[in-house]
Amino acid sequence: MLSAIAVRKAAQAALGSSQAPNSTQPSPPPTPSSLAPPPDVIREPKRNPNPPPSKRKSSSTNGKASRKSKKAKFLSERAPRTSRYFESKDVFEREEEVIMVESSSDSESDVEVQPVIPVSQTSVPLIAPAVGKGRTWSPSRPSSDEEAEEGSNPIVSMELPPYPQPSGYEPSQLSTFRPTPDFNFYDLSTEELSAMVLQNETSVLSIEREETLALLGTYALVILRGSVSILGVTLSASKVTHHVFAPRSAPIPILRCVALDIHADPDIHSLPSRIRNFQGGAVVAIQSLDAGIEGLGRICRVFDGVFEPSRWQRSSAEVIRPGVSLVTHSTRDVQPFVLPASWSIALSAADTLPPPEDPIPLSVYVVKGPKKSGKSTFARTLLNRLLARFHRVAYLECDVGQSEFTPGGLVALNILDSPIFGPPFTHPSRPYRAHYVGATSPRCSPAHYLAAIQALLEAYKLEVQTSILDESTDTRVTDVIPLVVNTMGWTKGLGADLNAKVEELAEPTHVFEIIGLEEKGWPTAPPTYGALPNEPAPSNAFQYTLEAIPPNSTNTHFNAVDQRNLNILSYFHAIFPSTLPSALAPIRQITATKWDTSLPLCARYPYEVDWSQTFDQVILIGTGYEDVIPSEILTVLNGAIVGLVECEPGTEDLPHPNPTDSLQFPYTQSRHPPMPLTSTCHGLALVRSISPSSSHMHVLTPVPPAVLARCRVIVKGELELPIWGMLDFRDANEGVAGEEKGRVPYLQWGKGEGLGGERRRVRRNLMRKAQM
Amino acid sequence: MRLPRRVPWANIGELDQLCSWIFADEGDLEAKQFALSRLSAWRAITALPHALESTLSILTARLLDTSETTQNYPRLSLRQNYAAAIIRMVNGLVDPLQAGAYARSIASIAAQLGLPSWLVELRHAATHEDLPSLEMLREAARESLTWLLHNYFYPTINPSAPRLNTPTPLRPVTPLLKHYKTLLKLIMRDASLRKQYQPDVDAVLRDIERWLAEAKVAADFAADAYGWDTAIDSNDIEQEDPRERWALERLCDAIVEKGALVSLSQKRRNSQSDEFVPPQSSLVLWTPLLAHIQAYHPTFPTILTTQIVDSLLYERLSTGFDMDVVSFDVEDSQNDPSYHLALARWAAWVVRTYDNGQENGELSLRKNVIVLLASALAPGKTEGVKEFKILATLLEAVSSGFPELQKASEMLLSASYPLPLQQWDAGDLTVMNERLHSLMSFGDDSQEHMDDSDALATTSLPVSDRQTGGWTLLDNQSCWKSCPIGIYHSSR
Repeated sequence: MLSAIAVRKAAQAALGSSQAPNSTQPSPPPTPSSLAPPPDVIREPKRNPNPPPSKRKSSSTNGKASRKSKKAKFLSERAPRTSRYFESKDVFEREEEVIMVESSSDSESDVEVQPVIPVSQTSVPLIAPAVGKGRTWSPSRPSSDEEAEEGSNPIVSMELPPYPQPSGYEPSQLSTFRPTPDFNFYDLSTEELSAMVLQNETSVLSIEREETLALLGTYALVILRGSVSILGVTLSASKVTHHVFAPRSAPIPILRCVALDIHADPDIHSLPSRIRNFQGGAVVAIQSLDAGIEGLGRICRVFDGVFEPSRWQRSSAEVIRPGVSLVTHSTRDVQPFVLPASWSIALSAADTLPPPEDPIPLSVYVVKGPKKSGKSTFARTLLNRLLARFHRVAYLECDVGQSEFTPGGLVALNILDSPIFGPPFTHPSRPYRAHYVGATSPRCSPAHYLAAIQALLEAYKLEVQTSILDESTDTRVTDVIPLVVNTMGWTKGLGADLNAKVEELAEPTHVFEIIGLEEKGWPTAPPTYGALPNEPAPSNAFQYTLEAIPPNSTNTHFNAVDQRNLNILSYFHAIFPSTLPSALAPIRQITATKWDTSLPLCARYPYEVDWSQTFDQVILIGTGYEDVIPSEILTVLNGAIVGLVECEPGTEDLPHPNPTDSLQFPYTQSRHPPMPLTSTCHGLALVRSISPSSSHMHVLTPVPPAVLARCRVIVKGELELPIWGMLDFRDANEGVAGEEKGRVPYLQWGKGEGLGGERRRVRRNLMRKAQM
Repeated sequence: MRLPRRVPWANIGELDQLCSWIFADEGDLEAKQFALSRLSAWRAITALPHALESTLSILTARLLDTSETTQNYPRLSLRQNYAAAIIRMVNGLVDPLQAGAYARSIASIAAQLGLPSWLVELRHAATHEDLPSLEMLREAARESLTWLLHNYFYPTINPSAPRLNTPTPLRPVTPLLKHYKTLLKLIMRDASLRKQYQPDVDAVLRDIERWLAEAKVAADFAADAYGWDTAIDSNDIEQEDPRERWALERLCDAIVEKGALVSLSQKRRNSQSDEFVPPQSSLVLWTPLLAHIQAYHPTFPTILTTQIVDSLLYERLSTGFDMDVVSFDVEDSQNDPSYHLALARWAAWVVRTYDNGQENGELSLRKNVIVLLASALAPGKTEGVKEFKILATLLEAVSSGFPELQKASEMLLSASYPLPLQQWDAGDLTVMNERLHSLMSFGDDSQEHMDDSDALATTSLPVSDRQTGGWTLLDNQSCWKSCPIGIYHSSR
């Protein structure tokens, strides 16, 4: 095992060769042909008669070709460098590589040191100078990837240059659009706006054909004229307002004109005559979005000011509207969204309309690939693309670590009716149906995880897939709801088995597999010996192979844990639109559009609940939790995050109430989690405190009151409230709600005294003797 | 902002109580049962500190051993129980201290921790050899609990109490640097020796790396070590490890000493050229080492330049830790302009070599140096600063080539005279009043905002919604007031 160093070095070496083409040309503008590809593109991924042994080979040829060319580039880049090792003569001829003593000017008499040594040899051939500050090798930060340890890339030995030159970062241009008032940038008057049925405080931008526009912040976007591509989706002029969340913590969307959609009504908005509409260009309206989501940065300081230009960019950024700024160039902390070519082809093929005579097929799209390969970004893009054709699209989240629509720990089925533009924390949603797994990995309870997914797939097939909807207001398909399945990034060992099982259950019609290229530092696939016994049965699905996103395009300042914490905090501060108290579960999207971030969690009015009346039982799921005895249950629940579960009556055995102790919470040790087939988790709640003397507790939850009463079972898993959520951003002295910082329960400031006071940490990148 | 750590106890008294359940009376099995239940509950609240996790498993094994009902079980299950508890305890204590790039022996880390060495042997035997005897395992369990009492429970419950075990002092790094220097000089004199000595050079570089790993462990004991961040929620949080910082600082202390970066011979310290760089001979000598350290420790250039600038600015203070940084030189270093000049040139070189202008939420290497210098060279503060000229030259060297920085430095250097006293003007009072007023009105606004949001939280729901099926949303009509998560404030 050669540890992260080798991997990272390889990545670094590969970066030089592969980064440039990616960064210089962001997503290729979808041409009309990509919207309606010629038949040969559609047919490219053939239905494969026997996929298992040759699954990868049979996949899209395009993915393969790009793989090869990358490799070739990588080698050619390295070739001359290696050869220098052997041509030692060459080293001495090249003067700049030799450090000479300045003998002429040196008046000192000592001749002790006479270094006439090629520095390329003085340097110990060790490791390329780690210039990037992001994730260089560091012993204190064990590799976060618990599965990617077996990677056995050969050490790429590189010599040190005499003066290690920092690899300069080449910023790429993000916006070519330069706002010029009354030429391509207009602040409309109130009359003009009301004539167009737009809200006040709107700026109208007229974008030329070749121009790009990168905006940071939160904004509402209305396409007035023409068509615009954003995050791999084409939006045409319509009355629809799209909410775009573009924080620095995620690749930011680039707006770009695309050729006019023939179906679009060019005169849907009557523009004032003074607004110039460039030939082949587009006109868009931008409004500030006062969602309160920026306040999350005050709560979780890691994300402070993430919707504003960074300090280093403030000078060049231009404020379009309050909270919306135009970014001209990329920096290390502002990266553009790039749609790799192989993605674009796969997406076009997947959302092509079948010939009119065919019935619309029932489609299930499975997306799989390793962590950080861009899997969920692809799934989100696919979802948005499908929403152009379908009125509704279902989304099954199997990645309990980094869920798209819910906090972690939930396997959820969501139904979407409008495209989403932003990273996961900007669209917490109430699922159509969900099951609480309670942890950020299914490792501890794989059987329950699979049962939950199976139940959701059944619910999808029975209740969602072909539901008849009465409303047919637009041209999109309404009677079929396709499904996108996002699998988890744990793709080795047990994770691979689980993913294979999920794929089998989902019965996909299209499978998108993202492959991390070895040259870019992705771990190699372990060798397989013989046929695996659990190889999935041959499927008839279209197979697509996609390249992973370049490793540098994920922002390294925000790691998976930060993102997960932010998702949880965003959920608890979200305000969900209140739903009609209909008995039937509505098949519609319920996504938060506002956040109440004016107060920290500790200062928000909680619900008061009498648990002896309200809950039938509490269930603990987690490793070792079966040892919690009934008299300790309230200790465990205080401050815990729990899942609010509704069970069909009579399907769960209830614990026998203890007649001797009325203050005994209904709880039985080592209980199985609620059966997924007969239960659903409506959301999460934070038990903010428990009365020591009565049967009351205080609970915070964004779940609407109408649903709360139905949740008679609470499930506590391993998910915890992030520490940020326990703090009080209003107090400069780090106190919480008037309590000084040393007296806040469950928190300890300062260095932990004593040995063994830290949680166990695992190092997997140690070098053993053999590697020294 | 340093985040606090999540602990399972509401206050430290709960840990104290647990401790007394376990240790107060050896024979009180009921109290031990209490402790087990409490620890199991805490485990379900948050991940336990490793010491408590170990306590839980050792206690479980001991309770099984004393239980009446398990007397008929095969003793093998008991031995396995004990063995697993001890293996996991030793591993969990040692693993986080594998701080370097290369593996250290478990025995050496255990020695630094003050863990009895026979426990390490027992761990080895239990893992790879025959399972040890029940007698040995019982003794090991007893010894482990005692060790945990002295090294975890006591210091955690009474942070101010003096620590019982004094750690083994960290060995000095200076001999390693000397050895390195000797080797490199040999090679420099005769390039043909390179092949012969290269393994030795590699070995000494590894040794320095190992020393850094030891220093990181020692940082735990160091009096001046930082109150560091605890690993929040996970191991892979991307924050600078204060232990690493401490270790690197101690290394830099030794590197900055005379005889290392800066040669002992005054003549050879600075080349005559006007260029603000260290002499070529020193560069050739030290670049491999600096590059090696930098490759493993990205923060090294920042720490090195900080230490150099500090040593230029301030009198050298003792580190307050019992690591003997043996001076190469006994000569008084306070008044030695050529030494200071040489150091400044090294700082400039490090900045020029390693600065990549990258700012990940922190200052770049270059800006960091400028900020350090600027705070010392600021107008009115320059009196106490020795070697003003060298510092000024360093500032110029570091900012050259960057127009904005250059401008700022020039301004700073030119402004090193006291500001003229401002005359009191009758109009000033009005200006101050205006400012006060605007400040006050700002306060009013924010107050209103707070009130609004309070109202919003409660009035957004119709009354019927506030009370459904046993769920009552509290509002400003109730007596509830905000309090930390985990504290119950009655609404009545």
